[in-house]
Amino acid sequence: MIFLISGLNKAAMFRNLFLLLIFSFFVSIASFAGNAEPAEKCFVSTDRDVYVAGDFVYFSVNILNKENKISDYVYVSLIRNNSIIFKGCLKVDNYNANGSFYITDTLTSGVYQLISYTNCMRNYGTSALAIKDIIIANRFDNEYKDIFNLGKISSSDSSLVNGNTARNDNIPVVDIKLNKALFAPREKVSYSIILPEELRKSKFSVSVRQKSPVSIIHNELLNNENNNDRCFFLPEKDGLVLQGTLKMVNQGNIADKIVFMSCKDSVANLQYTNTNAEGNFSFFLNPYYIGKTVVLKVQGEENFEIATDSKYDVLLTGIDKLMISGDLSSFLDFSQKCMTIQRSYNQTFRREVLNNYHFEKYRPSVYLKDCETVKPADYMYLPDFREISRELLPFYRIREKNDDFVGSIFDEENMYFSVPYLFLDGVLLEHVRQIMYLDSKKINKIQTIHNSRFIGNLNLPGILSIYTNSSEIENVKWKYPIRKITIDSIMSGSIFQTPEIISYPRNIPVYLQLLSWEPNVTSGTGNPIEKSFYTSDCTGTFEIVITGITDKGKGFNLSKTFQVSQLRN
Amino acid sequence: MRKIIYLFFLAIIGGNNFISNAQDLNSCNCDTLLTKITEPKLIGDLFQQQQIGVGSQYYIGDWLKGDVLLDNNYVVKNKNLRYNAFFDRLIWLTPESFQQVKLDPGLVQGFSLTTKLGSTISFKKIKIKDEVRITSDSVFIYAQVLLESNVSLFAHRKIEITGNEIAQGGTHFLDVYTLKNIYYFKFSNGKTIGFKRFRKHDIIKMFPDKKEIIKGKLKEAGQHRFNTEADLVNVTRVLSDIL
Repeated sequence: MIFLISGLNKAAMFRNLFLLLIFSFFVSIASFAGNAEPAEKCFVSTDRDVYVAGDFVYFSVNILNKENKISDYVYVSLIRNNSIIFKGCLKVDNYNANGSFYITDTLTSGVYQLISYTNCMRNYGTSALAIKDIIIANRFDNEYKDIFNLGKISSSDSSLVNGNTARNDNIPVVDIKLNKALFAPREKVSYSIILPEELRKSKFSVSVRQKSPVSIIHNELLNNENNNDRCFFLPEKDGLVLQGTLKMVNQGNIADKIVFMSCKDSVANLQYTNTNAEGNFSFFLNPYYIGKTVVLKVQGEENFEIATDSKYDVLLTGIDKLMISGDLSSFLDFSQKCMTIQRSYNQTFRREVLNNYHFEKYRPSVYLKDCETVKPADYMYLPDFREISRELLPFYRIREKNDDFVGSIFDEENMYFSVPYLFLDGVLLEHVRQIMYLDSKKINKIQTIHNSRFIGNLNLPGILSIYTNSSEIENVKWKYPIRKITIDSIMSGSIFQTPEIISYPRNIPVYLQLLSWEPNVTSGTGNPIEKSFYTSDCTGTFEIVITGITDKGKGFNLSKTFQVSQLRN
Repeated sequence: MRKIIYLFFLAIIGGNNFISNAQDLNSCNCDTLLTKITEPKLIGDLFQQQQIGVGSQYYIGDWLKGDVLLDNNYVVKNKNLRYNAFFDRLIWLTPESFQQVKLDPGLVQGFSLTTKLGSTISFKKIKIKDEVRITSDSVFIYAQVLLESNVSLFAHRKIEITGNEIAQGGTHFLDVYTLKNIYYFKFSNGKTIGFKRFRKHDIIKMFPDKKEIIKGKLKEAGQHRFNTEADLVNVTRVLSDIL
């Protein structure tokens, strides 16, 4: 470069160099800003846009990750005015998670947001969430139809009644070919979807439903992210992550404290972790913990408050606009009638499906080997644990000290007494005083290990594990704060089973606004995707709606309408 | 002017480096944090046995870096390990307190050790017919993987006390530890055959119905002598093709 400078006009050269450097700087900044986009993206779609209370909402979440390191779990919640109506955790299978939930009769009518995200997407604030707006009408609202008509939700921008076209920018045309344009009730409809080259790797859901006279204009949400740490919420692979923070009740150090986690079980179990400088801690929860209530406590006798992160603490700001392009009141009336008929004839089309996920379970047992076991019921009645230890536990002794008790176990190999870790019904206790009230009728068995054991770097100088007949862990009193958390269960799978309407006798009415719902469709080969369904006794305008995400992470929503009429073609 | 531009140039280069580093940190930090919390903890008893004897209880005496494969298929990586072939237990040296921990055999499915020369030797828990305890049918042992194929070959590096030596002027007896290798063929149906010496005649005798084919194939492969473990591995390859 120096040689180049020396051979040319210096002033011009410096100017060019200066411009080059400025350009380089902005390119770098731009690439850095690009990195702020989450590596993982979700896209949520539903079977319909309008529901009445008592319906099921079928949803599908497609997930895309730039680095092909898809999270294994995705969260879905239905919210309104920042309160959670429904929440669930789903296992991702082949880049998709889908399920359904019931809309209870207690919901007020209005626009609700179905949001979906993975744990690591929470690092990017609300702008990273996948959101789908749905309308729920509840006939038990006195004026439920008026809510949508009288401007509680404004309907100002009538130019957008035909849908949220903003999402379809640069999306190639998908060809949906129907065998006819007009169908009779209970007639078989065949259609094929021909995807252009650009969408062959995309994943989408296909819904066939009665066209509703509404569309929702989605307001862009303000990003409320409040931290720049892109790894604060960790990705969840092979299991869930439980994160929390220690808060000292009085002044004190919260860094590098040991936090224990155990749960009620027939075997003593324990995990531990150390807090970082800010007092934050994280536990990996393998599928063993799913649905279980875990107990968190801090090592030692210090007054910490243990706060845990809720994965559903997602605040949305703003409300979406509802665009009404027809007679919504009649549509809701009709929806309600359809449901009444279905209920009268006990017609349910939702089927639970068994999840075939293979969970690699790993119980973090404190010990596996056979150990000394005593069953107090085999001996004469003993009124408290002090008596039990004196009479039945030769290696364990309890003595009184400063109006309290101290329990210690004798290590045969090293010939010394040490304070063992105490477990009750699998849960780590803080002190022997918690179990002094246990008599020999309450205890099923006592297991002792009187030598040092290691769990990672943690030295347990002996173990005393007590198992009771009636879950006494629920009754023990804690002197220092603990935190009990119930770990999310994984939502069971469910499908909308497309009914063979032709097999129903004519005298049984079958009124369905949803004719078909396929939550996870892929093409891959480029061949037309052939599908079929039956129309029901409902007449009117129906639509086949394809909603999905391209392999570039862009959502799309495309539809094709057809008519169902009593008059045969 | 030149100085100013030079400084500006350096600042931008530095800025660029900073930004690219920040990106790198962002992309790998999550993985590091996740690995830190997902890695299961090794569990076992404190091992305090002071070995006094002639010879060693360990197959390889030094602490070696290695990975531990747990029963749930998780792999705990890069730990200081030593295989105690006398107790048939894997010993782990804790990084902070330098305590020796005898890992629970029920949890450890296998392990690999990287020798000082850089080669890796792997051990796997295999089920064999118990020749010691009459009461039980089979027992699990750790055996070195020599070949994994249709027919696999394992070597159980067993250290036994083979005698005593008088020490300290006759006041003490020292145990003499000796390494004895027992080899196992493991077949795809899980069945194992153990043998201590690997003579050609003995091995062919193990498969009476394939006697001639084995002889022929060994001849084809030019495997006439059975002197080393490498020869045995070659023979196992031949058996793997036939059986």
